[in-house]
Amino acid sequence: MNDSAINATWERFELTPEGAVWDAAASVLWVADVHLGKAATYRRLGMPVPAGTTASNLLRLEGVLARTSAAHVVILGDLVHSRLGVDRELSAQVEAWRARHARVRLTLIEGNHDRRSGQLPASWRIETVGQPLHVAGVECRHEPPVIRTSAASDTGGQSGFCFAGHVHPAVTLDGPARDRVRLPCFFARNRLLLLPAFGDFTGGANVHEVRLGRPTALFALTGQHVIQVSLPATAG
Amino acid sequence: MNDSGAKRKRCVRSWFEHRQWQAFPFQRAAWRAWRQQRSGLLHADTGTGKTLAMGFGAWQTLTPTPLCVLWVTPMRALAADAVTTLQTAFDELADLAPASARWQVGLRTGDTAGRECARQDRKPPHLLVTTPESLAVLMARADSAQRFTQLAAVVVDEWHELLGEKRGVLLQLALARLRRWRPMLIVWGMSATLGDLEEARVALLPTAVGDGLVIRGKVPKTMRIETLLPERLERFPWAGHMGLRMLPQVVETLEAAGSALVFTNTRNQAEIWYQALLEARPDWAGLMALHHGSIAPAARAFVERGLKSGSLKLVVCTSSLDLGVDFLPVEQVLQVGSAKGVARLIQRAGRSGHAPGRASQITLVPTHSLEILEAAALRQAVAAGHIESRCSPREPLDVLVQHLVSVGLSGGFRADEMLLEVRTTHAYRHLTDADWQWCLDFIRQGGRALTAYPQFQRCAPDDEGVWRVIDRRIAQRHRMNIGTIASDAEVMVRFGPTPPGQRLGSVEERFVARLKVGERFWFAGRLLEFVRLRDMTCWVRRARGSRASTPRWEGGRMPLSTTLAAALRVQLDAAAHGRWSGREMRAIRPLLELQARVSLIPREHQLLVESLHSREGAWLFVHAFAGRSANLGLAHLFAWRAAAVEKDSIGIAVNDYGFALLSAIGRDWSSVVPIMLGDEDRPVSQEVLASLNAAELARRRFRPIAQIAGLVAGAVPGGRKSARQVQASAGLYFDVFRRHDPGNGLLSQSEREVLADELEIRRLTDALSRLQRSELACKTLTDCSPLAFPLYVERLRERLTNESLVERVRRMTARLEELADA
Repeated sequence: MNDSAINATWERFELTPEGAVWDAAASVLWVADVHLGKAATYRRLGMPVPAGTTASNLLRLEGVLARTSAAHVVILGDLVHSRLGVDRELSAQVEAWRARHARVRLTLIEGNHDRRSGQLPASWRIETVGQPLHVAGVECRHEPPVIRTSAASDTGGQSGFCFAGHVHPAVTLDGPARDRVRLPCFFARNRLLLLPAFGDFTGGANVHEVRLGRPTALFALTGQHVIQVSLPATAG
Repeated sequence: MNDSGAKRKRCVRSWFEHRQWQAFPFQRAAWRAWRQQRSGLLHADTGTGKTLAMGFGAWQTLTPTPLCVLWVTPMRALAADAVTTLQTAFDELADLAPASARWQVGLRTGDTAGRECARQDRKPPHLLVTTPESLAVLMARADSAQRFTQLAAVVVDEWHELLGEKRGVLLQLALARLRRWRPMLIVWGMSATLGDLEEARVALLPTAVGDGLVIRGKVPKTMRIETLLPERLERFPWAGHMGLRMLPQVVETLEAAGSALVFTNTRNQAEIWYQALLEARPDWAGLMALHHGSIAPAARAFVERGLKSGSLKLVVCTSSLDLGVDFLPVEQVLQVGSAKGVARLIQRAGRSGHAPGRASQITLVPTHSLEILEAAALRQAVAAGHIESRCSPREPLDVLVQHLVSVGLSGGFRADEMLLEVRTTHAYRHLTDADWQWCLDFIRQGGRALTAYPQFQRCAPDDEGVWRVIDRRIAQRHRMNIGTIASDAEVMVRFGPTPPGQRLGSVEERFVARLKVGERFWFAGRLLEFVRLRDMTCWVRRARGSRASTPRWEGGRMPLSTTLAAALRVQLDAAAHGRWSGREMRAIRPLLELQARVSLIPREHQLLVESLHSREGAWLFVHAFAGRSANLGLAHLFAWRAAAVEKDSIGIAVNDYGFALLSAIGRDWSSVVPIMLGDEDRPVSQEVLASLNAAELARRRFRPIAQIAGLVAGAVPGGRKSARQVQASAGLYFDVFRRHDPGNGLLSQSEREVLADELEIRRLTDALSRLQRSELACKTLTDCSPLAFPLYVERLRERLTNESLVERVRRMTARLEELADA
């Protein structure tokens, strides 16, 4: 990713076009659902997905790190896709990447895919913790919290922020001349923020299917930009 | 001929004498050819005795040994029918010649039970009736070569149906393999009316140049084409709506007929018409049935038996009854909606009036006003003998990849020998070395680049250079997915779950996914209530009432043939000159006169282009009359050229008569029309290809290719897991290939296929130069014209954009805010 990337702001955070959240004051960067080795997993099962998705995922992470110089990266789960995908080659790629960013602290909130993939290689130097974890005043989770429907619980009964992954939200937008696009997006409801999947070779869930109520803000990723959009009237 | 041969020939003669029948000259010609061990193509219409021509040919010529004849039919329904016809005839022949060996006829299709398959494996029948897919599965077994050591002949029924499709290519490859095992193999094809018999012969018998006989069957009967005309013509020719408006006339016609077939173009339409007819005439329940490809085999077989025994008065059907199934001819054949082509019309009309000397008759039921014109056009084309040709697809790599893995499963292959074998087929005769190498690379390592697809391996050469499949899981999954009929994930519809009841058929998973518990829908002519979806089965119970949805199945839309499109322009020209001859022309006169008032009726040498501003944006309607496919290509080309002048996101709607472009930036179309038309010196194919890259067409075309090449597992109705749960979607593959392996052979194949099949580039080029030579008539509309209206209400299926995502999203966001403010 180059320097022309344009961020959006949500509360005190910056949202990047790659789908990361940046807190400059605390120097913390959040990403979710990278799914490293997903393509390799498919290949092992006999499906010819070309290589390159892992490299490009790491490259994008490198881009945000270069722009932000974050001291701490929190991965909100599903860093790796499956045990099958974690092989020597992936390890070597991650190690090389790690060597270029030796000083960054990496924390992984264990996601459902991570749990099934076994321990990460020690050489990656990533600390794995269960959810929730509190970092810079933010409750960090993989699966979003269960939202009770009563009005008082909209903020989770607390003033802090909560970030989660797992859902891979996407939004379908309609325009003049029946134009239509589907884009990965950030999904905010009060102080809860769902991050889009950072990974390349991943699908997404429509915001209308996200069972967390109506979003209070949506930010769509268009490649170089993050744009705040309104919630479309109907599901795509 | 030896003694027993002569004896058998006499047997056949006395079989005919017993029935006081006379063998047709073409049947005798076919038997003679069989006795001379020759191969060939038999061209005769359905129901004229083709089966006996071939079956008795084999019986006279061959000594029955296990699996000595393969009989390939395109449809399972036909297969069962062929078995009965052949077995009965063989038994009767055997009774006439007690000394001769008895022939056993077996059936092997996707429906055949495992027990029966195992029995056949132990004791193979002499003649096996099968489908191209089941044959491919049979040939993908480790001991295939041994199985076919006695094979002497292959008969392909309804070859014209397979010829133009990838299924036919799969069969071409299978035949090449069988010929390699059995060099003296006799191969016969049977084909109905076709425009280009030579292509049909060469594709089936590529190695028998000059030797492949063509035998012509009985001359087709004379044919009458009628049109049911609406009492009042609607001002606007709504697509699909006028269909049911014609119900009273249709009922009246059916009442007058002793028995009838009602053909529709889609399964959805068949369901709707069946319901409507039953509502109109509840007393026809029991005499009336529904037949289409998604209905359970048992139910279909029941309908076919009913047609044969004459217990059914009326069957509403789709192309599922186009072929074979020798039932009693019906008195009346109705065609709902456009027949789209001359060959199909002749075939369907042939279902009626088989009695000698009687004309076959088809009654057209127009579903929108413009279709009224088609009857006149069809009559003209039939009279002139203009019938469409069908061509074999050219080197589809997805089918070849699948075939190579199959051969890798059945004993393996040496690359150099295999290439020679593959090139003997008509479809791959011009296969390049580069494409061949790509296929080998693909099955070995997923793609061209050595490092691009680590961990992937489907098939690879062993120490002796023989390519084999090693992984058992890959072998198993491959066998499950042999075939080229790509379909969306389908689920079985069944009564239950407690107790599990009758299987009704299958619907697309996407339809079921939208259903809520308790929601009602029509299927197989019944009103059902959705209970739940589990284990890829849609459990249902009976429901009452009438308001409900009807599933839509994805299906190919047939483009109007060039012949028909040209004939339509002639009819319009006559109208423009004020000549209203014939019932149809008189019926449509008010509509065309309105067209003349608000715009203009295009003459044959004119191109009518209409522009209109609506709330949605700026529309342009181009009445090219080139048939759906070529119109689609033209629409992309025009949109591409317009977007090059000024950046835009353009929605595209297409039908058989023309296309519409809808601009998101509200541009003034009239100024760009000459630029979009271009001039004759500009070659178009590069531009069309470029326009495709800006559109979603190639991406959509990629879906079936991904399935055939084994990227995406096909649907297994009633299977344990959804195809969607364990697979990445074809669209995801397409995107990843585009980014990380743009040289992927399957990507270029999808582009080639879009150009050749979907857009019919040759037809497109012809159409474009005709438009360029035409006199341009630009009209600005204040309201939709009758010609523009069907395009206006057609869904915008395609889109071409050269704007960046961010520009489009900004405009969308602005619009949402406008709506919120309003």
